[in-house]
Amino acid sequence: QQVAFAGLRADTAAAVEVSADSLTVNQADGTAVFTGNVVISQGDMRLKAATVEVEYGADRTRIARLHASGGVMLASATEAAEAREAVYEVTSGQLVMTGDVLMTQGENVMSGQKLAVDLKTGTGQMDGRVRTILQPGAN
Amino acid sequence: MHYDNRHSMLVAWAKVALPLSALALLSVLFLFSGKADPEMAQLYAKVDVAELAREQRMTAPEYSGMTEDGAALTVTAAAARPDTDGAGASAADLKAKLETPGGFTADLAAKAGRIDPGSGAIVLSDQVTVQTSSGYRLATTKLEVATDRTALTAPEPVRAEGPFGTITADQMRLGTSESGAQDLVFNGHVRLLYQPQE
Repeated sequence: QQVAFAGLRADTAAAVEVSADSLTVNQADGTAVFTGNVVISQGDMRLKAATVEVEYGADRTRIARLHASGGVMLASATEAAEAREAVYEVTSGQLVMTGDVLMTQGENVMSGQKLAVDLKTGTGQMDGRVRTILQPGAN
Repeated sequence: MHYDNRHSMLVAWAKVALPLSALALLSVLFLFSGKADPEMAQLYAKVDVAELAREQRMTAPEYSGMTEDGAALTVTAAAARPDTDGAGASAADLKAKLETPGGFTADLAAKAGRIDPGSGAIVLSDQVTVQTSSGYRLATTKLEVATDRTALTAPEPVRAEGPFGTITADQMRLGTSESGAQDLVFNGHVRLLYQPQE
């Protein structure tokens, strides 16, 4: 089901900031894992998660993907989305949330198994037993 | 050899007398050497001679040892002196290198350092920088280098330039994980700033 996110836009060229309680970087292969109420923010997009693992691009100076797990919460001015896990493609601005996704937009509530959001355009695609609850009288 | 005029005779005599007098003059030269006065030398000496004599100092000391898990640690400093309370020693301008069997190296540098006999660790302070072979450059104010195992601990806020961004945190610890590789662990208000390049 096609979903429009008015508020969910992220400037994919903006700096990505990840804050957490602790970060472990393995010096042999360089994998970096943030743990302890991790917040990924880019522009006005906030993604909260329990742990986030950094996955690199070709050379080790570029971050390709951020794997958030352990209960993920995406928040913006008007929308909020919750799920068990999320994968955020930093370069393309694609965010895929999986596992009991619950999305609220104003009064409308939508749930499903998988929510793919393109933060560049702000459009999303929800699938997997999608159930929508529309409040009558809402726009 | 008789010359008819005075000039030639005079020259002939000069050819003999002058070299002889030169020889005589040179040979007595060393008799008139002045004595070097040690008191006066102190004024011109670059190094503070009095302090050097009074203090126990070791210039350019070098410590090298092997930790239990096989990492080589070498520490050099500009100068080191024992502490006044007799336990441990302090040193200035330290440079240290930690090389683990796995090939990981860390180059440490600091303006000041102390060897803490209790824990056997070397405590670096004052502009401590760490450069790791994995491309991390850390700057902090205090760093404890364990000498019995591969462990660096920075109890005070640390700022790290990593290959993919800058990381700031309250503390940092570098140790060997079970898998044998070194783990760089940041704790407390960890913040990574990453600028995506298109």
